[in-house]
Amino acid sequence: MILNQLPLARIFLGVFLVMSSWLHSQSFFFSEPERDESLRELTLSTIFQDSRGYLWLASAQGPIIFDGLSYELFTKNDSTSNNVSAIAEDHSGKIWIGYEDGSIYYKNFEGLTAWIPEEGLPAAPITGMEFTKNGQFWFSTYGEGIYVFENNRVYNFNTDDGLTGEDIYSIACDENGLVWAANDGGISVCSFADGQKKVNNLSREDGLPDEIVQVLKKDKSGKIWIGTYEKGFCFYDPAIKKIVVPEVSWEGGAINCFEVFPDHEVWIGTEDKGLWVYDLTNGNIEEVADNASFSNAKIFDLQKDMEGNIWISSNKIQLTKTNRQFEFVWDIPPNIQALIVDGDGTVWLGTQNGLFSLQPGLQSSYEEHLASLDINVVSLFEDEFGNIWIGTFGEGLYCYHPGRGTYRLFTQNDGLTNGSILSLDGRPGELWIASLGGVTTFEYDEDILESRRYNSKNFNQNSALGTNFIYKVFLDKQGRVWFGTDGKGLALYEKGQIKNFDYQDGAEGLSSEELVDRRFKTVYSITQGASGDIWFSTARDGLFKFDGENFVHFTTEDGLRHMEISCLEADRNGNILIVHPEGIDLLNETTGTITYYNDQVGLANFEPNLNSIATDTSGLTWVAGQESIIKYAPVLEELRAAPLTVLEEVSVFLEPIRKNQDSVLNHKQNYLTFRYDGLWFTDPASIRYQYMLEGYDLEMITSRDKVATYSNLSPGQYTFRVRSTQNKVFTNEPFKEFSFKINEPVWKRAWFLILCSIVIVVLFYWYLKIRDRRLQKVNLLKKEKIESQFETLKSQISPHFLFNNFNTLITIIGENPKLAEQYVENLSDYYRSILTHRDKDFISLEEEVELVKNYRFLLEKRFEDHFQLEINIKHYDILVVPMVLQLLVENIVKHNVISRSKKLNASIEYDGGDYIVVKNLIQKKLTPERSTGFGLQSIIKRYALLTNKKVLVGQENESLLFWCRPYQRNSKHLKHKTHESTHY
Amino acid sequence: MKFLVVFCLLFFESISPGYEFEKIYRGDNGYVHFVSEAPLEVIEASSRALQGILNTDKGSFAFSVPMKSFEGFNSPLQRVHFNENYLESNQFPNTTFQGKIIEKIDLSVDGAYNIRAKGKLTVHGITKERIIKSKVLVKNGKINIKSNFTVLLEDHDIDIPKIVFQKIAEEIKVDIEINLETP
Repeated sequence: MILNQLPLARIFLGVFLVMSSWLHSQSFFFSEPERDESLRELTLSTIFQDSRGYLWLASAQGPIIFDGLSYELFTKNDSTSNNVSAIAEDHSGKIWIGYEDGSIYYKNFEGLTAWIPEEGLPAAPITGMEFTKNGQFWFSTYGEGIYVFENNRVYNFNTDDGLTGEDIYSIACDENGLVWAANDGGISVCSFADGQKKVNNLSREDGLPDEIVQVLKKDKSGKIWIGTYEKGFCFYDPAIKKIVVPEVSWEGGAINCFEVFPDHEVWIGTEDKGLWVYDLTNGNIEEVADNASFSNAKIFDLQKDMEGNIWISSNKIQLTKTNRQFEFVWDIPPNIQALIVDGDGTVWLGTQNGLFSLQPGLQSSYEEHLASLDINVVSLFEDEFGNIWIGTFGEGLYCYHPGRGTYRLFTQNDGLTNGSILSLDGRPGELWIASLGGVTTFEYDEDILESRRYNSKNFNQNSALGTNFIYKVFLDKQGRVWFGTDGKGLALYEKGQIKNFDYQDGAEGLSSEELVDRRFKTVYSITQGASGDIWFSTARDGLFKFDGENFVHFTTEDGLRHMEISCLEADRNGNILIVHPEGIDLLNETTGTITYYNDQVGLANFEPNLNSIATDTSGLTWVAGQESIIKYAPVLEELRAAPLTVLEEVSVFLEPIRKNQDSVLNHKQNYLTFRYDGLWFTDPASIRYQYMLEGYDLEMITSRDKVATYSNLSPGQYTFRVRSTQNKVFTNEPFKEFSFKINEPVWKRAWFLILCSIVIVVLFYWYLKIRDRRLQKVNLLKKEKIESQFETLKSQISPHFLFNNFNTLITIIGENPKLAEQYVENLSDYYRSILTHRDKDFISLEEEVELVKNYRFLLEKRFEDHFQLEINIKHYDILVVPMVLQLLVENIVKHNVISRSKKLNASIEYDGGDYIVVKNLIQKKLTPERSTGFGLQSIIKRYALLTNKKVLVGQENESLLFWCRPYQRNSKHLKHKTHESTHY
Repeated sequence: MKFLVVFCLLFFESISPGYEFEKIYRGDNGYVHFVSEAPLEVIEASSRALQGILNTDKGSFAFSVPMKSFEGFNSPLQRVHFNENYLESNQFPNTTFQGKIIEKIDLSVDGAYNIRAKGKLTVHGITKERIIKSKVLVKNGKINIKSNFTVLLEDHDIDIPKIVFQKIAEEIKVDIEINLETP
């Protein structure tokens, strides 16, 4: 950002002094916002208010944005001139800055960015920029005519195209999208459509008073105000399509700028003759200020804001503002107690020292009436005959006709009950008089002053009024008469009856809450709002509204600034004016919003008296205070009654993010800063903010800070809401919101957790399956082992085996008892071996070979030398499944022919390699032995369960090879293995 | 020939009564180069037949280039298409630009200037008003002008068949350079 690099760029004011100075002009109250020293040096020219509500000020060092309190200067990031000559906003809300050197920049998220069209930029100062509804961008120059940018192309209008001059002072876009350009030859009205330029010139023949036109300004009604160099101003009225020159004598010289309050008045800034106001209602034109602040000043620009303030930049006062709604008369008689405005607009002032009048027009001074009487006037009323009724304190009631100069005094002898007349009101044929002796009414048919004929009627404390002290009498639009009493609340006269709303009297049937709402013992002032509701104020209990059925109580908690209200009046815009010692509050009847006006608009030490408020026939309200009379002239356009809240910036770890995007943050982006602003130029220091981060804060936080910071936010959905107020309470002010989401870290997100659990489940399932398979394998092995043991036992103790052995034994017992003995020993060894190895998973090859050797001995004796088994083992350091070799040998014997002619040779070999090889010649029996197939199968299965190595059965030449891998003794695997070969 | 017409106009103006002899600069053999950067093909061509005339007193100028003088296409056929189908060079032989310089700069004084020329650009018989930014170098009575700008085909009714469209950009980038001197 450019701004961080420049020391001047960011100017925030640590201390805001309420007012640097104020200037008493005759009619307006001007106040200057506080500025930093470095800014004071600058000349501020153009003032522009953007759609968000910020003010933009053009200076020679760059554009400055101003929120009422702080200023921020933007400078280009190149070395070209920063002298700003024009500021405008396009339809998307982007701010465009035109410079003296002809360059054009726009303000975006990053700062100022140069606008560079292919055609290049003017070499002359930019004097105006307009964005038309059809998307064209027009800019005028002082020296090169006007340019229009459309479809990526820039086109130029100059004298060759029909312009009356190339020095364009000002441009304005009319309602038809035509661009008006003020120059030294009049006005050139330009349009550009389908590549065709059209120029229409307006000159003296068309009604312009002067051909040098310096300024053009379109108002909201569509009129274009035209300021000339020498001959004053005029305007183009689109309704009659003509230039209208007002009949005023203009003495202000060259005109620089306008600001228009439609149907109300036009403010005119001049080149060297100060500031003027042209009143549209009566056609008067007057110079503003008789003191030095604007006299002979050069006014650079005028700009009204959305609150009714008008901002003025000039060569004498850099920047000042006044609230257009309040005009002041400073030259007034002291101690004013009553004020009315008669039908001619004359303001009548009743004071402790007599009666005064003030003629319309703010410049005139006052005049005293009935000076010889030396009366203390507390109330005034004008009847339909133009008589002024004057209520005095203790000296009775006067009726005075100012035109004829005649008057008459009414006292207790004339029907009054008391000489202190506190309030007067009436309607044709009726005069109502509130005094310290109750209420008196005069009914008459003719002018009382002339005819002296009337009927009087009295109501006193014995009536429903309940007291003799009546502060206020008020006739509403429906003809009802309302009374404000001392200590007995509000009373109403309707259809010949007086009804009292005193809460004490009507206490029955009211809840305690309703009682509180009726705490209006002493009523000072009564008025009727536009909607017909009756509003009245009390001595100390604030304000009440009565809609005919219910009372609504307003206190400081509802936004009232002061509980002691002096007087009330309804204005023409639907507001209730609440006048109290600290100034004036404006209560909008529809929205309930209360707007404060205080010393910032000139209402310091105001303190008016009870009867010092009146509204004239044109709807302007006059209020007399201690030092001034103000004329409250509600501006006829809708004003903002509450500050505008702007959520300026959202930062993550102090880095601003775009508010419309990036609203999804990751779990580490959890440090957020919100910068917001409440724009209220009327009294910027009064702003308070209320905010909360939904999803984090449980309730609203009220603060004066413009920044809210949240750190360590946990993942979730959040909405930041902020609003601002100028009256200390928050009612219906709209919120500005920013919603965002901080994501869970990846490992906490649902999809990740689901994925993880799926993986876990799958893994677990897989594990179970493997375990299951292994268990099955183990079971199978066990079963196989048992089966094998069983089979082995079965075969070894089968009668056949025993029979064979015993036969052999019988044969050799006789011939070789020694051998027989050996034979029995071997047989016995053999059985013992079986018994020993039966339960083992593995035995050493040595043991197995021992067993086989025993078995071989038995076989050799049985078959004599027809069967030969060679055992050729080179390494014994391995393990085998028990009896695997014996089984194979048995198999060989079982399935092959062994006879004298067919000797059977078999061998068992192991050379330390992978396999033990058992092989034999194949001599199949002609009638094959019935086989269970158990032997070989059992071996294969057991090896398959114990190891992944296969037992191989193969045929090689005449012999059947059978080999299998033995288990290594040191094998990590299970047990061991066998291999064998068997001959069949 | 448009260029001659313009030349004559300027010439007559210059000798019309009430004027002193005006400073006229002219030049031939100026360089024009254009490039069309379409997704499928980059087409480039250039010409050295740009003629120009500049009145430094009034800031008025006229430039012209015959379309048939362009060389350097990707193929001879492309050049034929360029002249016959798209630019219709027989019917509209020259591209011209004539108008006035917006800045009020005395171009008879040595120096380097950035100027903008506002004038009428006629391509394919269609005239559009344009502002063209240029760099001007004045030295020893010679003026060197360099500029670049874009021309939209649509602006000048140059119709390209849809199939060829992929090969020709809608926006043609042009850059020129010319030296002018007093005759």
